[in-house]
Amino acid sequence: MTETGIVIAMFFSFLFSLFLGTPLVYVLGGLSIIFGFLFWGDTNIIALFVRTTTKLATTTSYVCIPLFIIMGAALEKSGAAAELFESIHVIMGRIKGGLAIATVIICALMGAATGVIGASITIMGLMALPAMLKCGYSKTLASGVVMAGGSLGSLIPPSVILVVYAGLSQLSISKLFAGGMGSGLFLTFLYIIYIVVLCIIKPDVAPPITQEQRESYDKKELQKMFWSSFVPTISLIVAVLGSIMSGIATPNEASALGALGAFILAAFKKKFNMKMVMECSYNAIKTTSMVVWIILTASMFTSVFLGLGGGRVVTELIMNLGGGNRWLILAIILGIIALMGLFLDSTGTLMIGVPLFTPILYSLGFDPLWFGIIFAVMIQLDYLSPPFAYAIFYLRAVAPPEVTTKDMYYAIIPFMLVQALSIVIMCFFPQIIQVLPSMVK
Amino acid sequence: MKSLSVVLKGIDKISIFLGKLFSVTTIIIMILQVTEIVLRYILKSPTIWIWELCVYLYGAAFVMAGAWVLQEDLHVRTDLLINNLNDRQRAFLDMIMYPPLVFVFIFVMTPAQISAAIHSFLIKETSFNAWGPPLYHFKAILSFGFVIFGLQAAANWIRSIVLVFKGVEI
Amino acid sequence: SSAGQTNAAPPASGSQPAEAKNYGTPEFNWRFQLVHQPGQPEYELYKQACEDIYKISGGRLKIDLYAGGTLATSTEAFQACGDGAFEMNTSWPVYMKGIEYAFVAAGDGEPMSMAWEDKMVWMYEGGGWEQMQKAFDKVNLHMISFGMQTANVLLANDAFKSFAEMKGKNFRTSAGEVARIAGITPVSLPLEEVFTAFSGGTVDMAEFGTLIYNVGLGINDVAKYGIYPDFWNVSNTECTVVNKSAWEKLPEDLKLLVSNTFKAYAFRTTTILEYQSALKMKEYVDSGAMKFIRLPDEDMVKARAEMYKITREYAETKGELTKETYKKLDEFYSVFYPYREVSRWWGSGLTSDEAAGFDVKSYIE
Ligand code: NA
Ligand code: NA
Repeated sequence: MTETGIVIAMFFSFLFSLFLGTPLVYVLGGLSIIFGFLFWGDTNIIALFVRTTTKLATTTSYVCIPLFIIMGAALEKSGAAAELFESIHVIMGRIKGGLAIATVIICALMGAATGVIGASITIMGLMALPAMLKCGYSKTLASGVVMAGGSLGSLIPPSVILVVYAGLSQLSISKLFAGGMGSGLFLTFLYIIYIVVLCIIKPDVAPPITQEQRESYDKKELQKMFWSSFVPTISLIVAVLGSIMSGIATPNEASALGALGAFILAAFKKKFNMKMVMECSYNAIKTTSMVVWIILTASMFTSVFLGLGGGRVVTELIMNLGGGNRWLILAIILGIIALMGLFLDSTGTLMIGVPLFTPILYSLGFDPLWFGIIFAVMIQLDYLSPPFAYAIFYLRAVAPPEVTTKDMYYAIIPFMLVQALSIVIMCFFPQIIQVLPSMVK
Repeated sequence: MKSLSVVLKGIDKISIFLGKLFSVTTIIIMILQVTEIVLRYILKSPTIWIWELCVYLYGAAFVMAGAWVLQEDLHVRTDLLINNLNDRQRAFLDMIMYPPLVFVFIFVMTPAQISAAIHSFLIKETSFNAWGPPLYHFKAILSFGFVIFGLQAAANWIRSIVLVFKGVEI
Repeated sequence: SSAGQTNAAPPASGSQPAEAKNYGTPEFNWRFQLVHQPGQPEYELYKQACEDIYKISGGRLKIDLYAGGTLATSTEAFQACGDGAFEMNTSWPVYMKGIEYAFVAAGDGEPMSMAWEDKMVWMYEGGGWEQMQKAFDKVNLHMISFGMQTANVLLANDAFKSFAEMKGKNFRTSAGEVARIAGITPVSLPLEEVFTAFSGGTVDMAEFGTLIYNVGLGINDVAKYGIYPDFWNVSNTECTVVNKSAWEKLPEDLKLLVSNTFKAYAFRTTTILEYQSALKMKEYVDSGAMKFIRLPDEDMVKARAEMYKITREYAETKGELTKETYKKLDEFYSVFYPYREVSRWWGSGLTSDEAAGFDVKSYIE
C-alpha cells in the first residue's frame, strides 16, 4: 500500500469507527495498533506505545489539570460559584447576555493563570454553565461560551501550545506570548460582540433579569452576596494569576494554591467537610483520566501516522494544490490544519505543520511571528472542531447531563465561525498580533 | 447467569475502589505543592523532589482511574448514530466493535506494559531528573492500571453480549 | 528580525540539495529520530548526511528523518530505538542516566569536567568511546558518532560575579550537586516551566544549553546577564546510535558509509554551535540586550576539588561501569592534564585584543 493509501485508510477507518459510537480512546488505541502492526514493518512499534504511556504519565504540564478542577468543584460545591454568577446576574441586571459576557471575561482571566485549556473549561463548566442554565440561558449559548472562552487559555500566556511552537519554530517564547496576548484579547472582544449581537437578534437565548426578580433581592442580601462570593471568588482567581506573575509560584504550583484557596473559601461558607473534599477529588481524577487516556491514544495514533509517512503525504498535497497566489496557499494550509484537527491531537498537528508550512510561508513573505499566532488560533479551532474536540471532551466530563454532546456540537459552530472571522481580520490587520511583540526586547 | 453477574459486579467494585483510592493523590499533590512554595519562597530551602513526586502521583492516578471511567461509561464517544438506537442495539455495536479495537488495544498494550515494568526492575531504572528515584514501582502501577482497565473492558463486553442475546442488563 | 534565520546552518560545502533521482525501492529503509527540530543546525547537517548516504549508496540505504518528539518523546527516544521501534537516534545520553550513570561520567556533561576539545581527545583516544559503547550495550544500541555541545551559559537578571554573590539564590539546574558546592540553591523545574518561572522571578538563575540553543527557548529574551564558564553541565556529547539488530543486518560497505558520514557531519555540529553562539553573543552585546560575565578561576578550583570528592562517592555507589570509567578518567587526566598545562595554547587566558593582536572589543567589563 502506498503512503497516501495508508493515510486515507487511517482517516476513514477513524471516522467510521467513531461514527459507530465506539469510545474515542478505543478507536485511536485500536487503530494505532492495527495500522502499526500492518504497516510499520515489524511489531517493535509496541515499544513506542509503551514509551508513550510513560511520557503521558510523566507530563508535568498536566499536573495542574486535576487541581484546577478541584478548585472549580470546590467553588461550585461551596455555593460560591452560584452566588458569584447570581450576583453578576443581578448587577449586570438588564444587560442581555450579561452572564455569558462575564463568563468570557472570567475565562480570559483564568486563561492568564493556566497554560492548558482543560483547566479553564472544566472550572467554568462547573461554575458558570449551571448558573447560566438556571437563569434560563439556552444550552447551546451557555456551553458554547464555556468551550470557546475556556480555550482562550491556549492563546493568552502562559500557553503550553506556544511553548511547543517556539521549540519547533525557533521563535522567541516571549514574542509569541506577547502575540498570543494580543490575539487572545482580540478574540475575547469578538466573542463579547457576538454575544451582544446574538442577544439582540434572539433575546430569548439569554433572558435578562426581570423587574420582579430583581426586586425580589433586597439590597442587604445582595450586598452580602457580593462580599461573601463575588469578591472572594474573583480575588482567588486574580491571586492565582498574581502568584505566577510575582514569581511566588510556578504555573503548576499556582493550581495548588487555587485549590487550597477554594477549600478555605468553602470553610468560610461552612461547606467544607471530608465528603466534599473527596467528591471534588473524584470529579478531578475522573475528568483528568478520561481526557489523558484520549491524549495517550491520540499520541500513539499521531506517532503511527507520522512514522508511516503522513507528513510526506501532507507535503505533497500542498505542493500539488499550491498554485502561485500566496493568499491561496495560506488558505490551503489553514484548510489542511483544520482537516488535521478533525482527527489528530494538537501536538500532532504542530509536529506536522510547523516544519512543513513555515518554510513555504516564510518564502512567500509572511511574517514568522504572525503565522505562529495564526497557527495557534487554528489549534484553538481544532480544540473546538468535532469529532476530535478536546473542548467538548472536557466539558462533557463536568456538564450536567441535560446538556447533550449533540448540544455541544451545535453550540460550537458559531464560535468556530467567529474564530475563522478573527483569522480573516488578522490577515488584514496583522498589527493585532504584531504590536505587543514589537514592544518586547 | 447469577454467578456471572456477581463476578462482573466484583470487577466493577475493584475499578471503583482503585479509582477512588487514587483520587486521594490530588489532595496529596495540593498539599505537597503548597509546601514547596512555603519552603522555597518563605524558608528559602526548596526541595528537588516535590515536583517530580507530584508528577508520578498524577501519572499513577490518571492510569489507574481509567477503569473507573470505563465502569461509569464516561469515555467520550460520538452519539450521532447511537442517539437513535435503543440500549440493545447499542450493545450490539459494542459487542461487534470491542474485539477489533478494544481488545486489540488491551491485549497488545497490557503485556507490553508489564514487561516494560519488569525490565525496569531488572535494570534498577531510576529517573534522570535531579531527584532520580527508582522508576519501577511507578511503571508497575502503570501496568497494573492497564490490567484493571482490561478487566473492566472485558466485563463491559460480556454485559453487552448478555444484553444482546438475553435482553437483560446484569 | 526573524529569530528563525539566525539558527539555520549554511549548506555543508560540496553537497548539493538532494536530487529527485529515483533509485527504486531501497534495500534498507530506516527511521531516524533526532532530538533537534528542522532549522536547528544539527538537524540540517544530519539531514545532509542522510541525503549523502542515499546518493553514495546508490539508493540502497534510505534514512528518513524525524524531528524531536515525533515518534518517541526525547527523554525516551534512546530506549525506544534500542527496543527497535525505529533504527536510529541522535540525542543526549544524560536522559539514560537513571539506567547507567556511566553515560554522564564518560561523556554527557558531568559538572566540572573537561573542556570540549579535551573531551574529544578523551572520547577518541582516552577510552571514552569504549566506555560509552559499554553503556549503550545495556540498551541494545551501537554508537556511530558524537558531536559536542559546547560551552553552556547561565542566565540571570543580577550581575553575579562570583559564587559568593550567588549564595542562597535559586538556580534552575539539572546538576544540583555542583550548585550546592557553590552555595547556590538548586531548583528542579521541567522545561515547560523554565521560561515562566525565570521571567516571573521564581528562580534567580537558569541554565539550559549553549547560548544559541537557548534562543529557541526564549530565556535569553528575559535575561540581562549571561554568565560563564559552565560549571554545571560541561561538554555534553550528543550521540548518534543505531539499534544493534538493524546495524548487524547492514552489509560492511554500508556500515562504513554510515559511520564515516555521520562522524564527518557530527564534527561540524560542534564547530557550528561554537560559531553561532559567538555570533549571537556579538549581536546581544552590540544591541545591549545582554551583558556577559566570567566567574573567577578560584571559584572553579574549589568547585573542581569538591566535585572530585563527589565523583569518588559515585564511583562506589553508581555501579561497576561508572567505577571503571572514573578509573580510566583518572588515568587520562594524569597523562593529559600535565601535558596540557605545559602545551596549552599561547592565547588561552589572554584578552581578546592580546589574542587577536589588534583591537577587538572585549565583552568582559
Ligand atoms: Na494561558
Ligand atoms: Na478538532
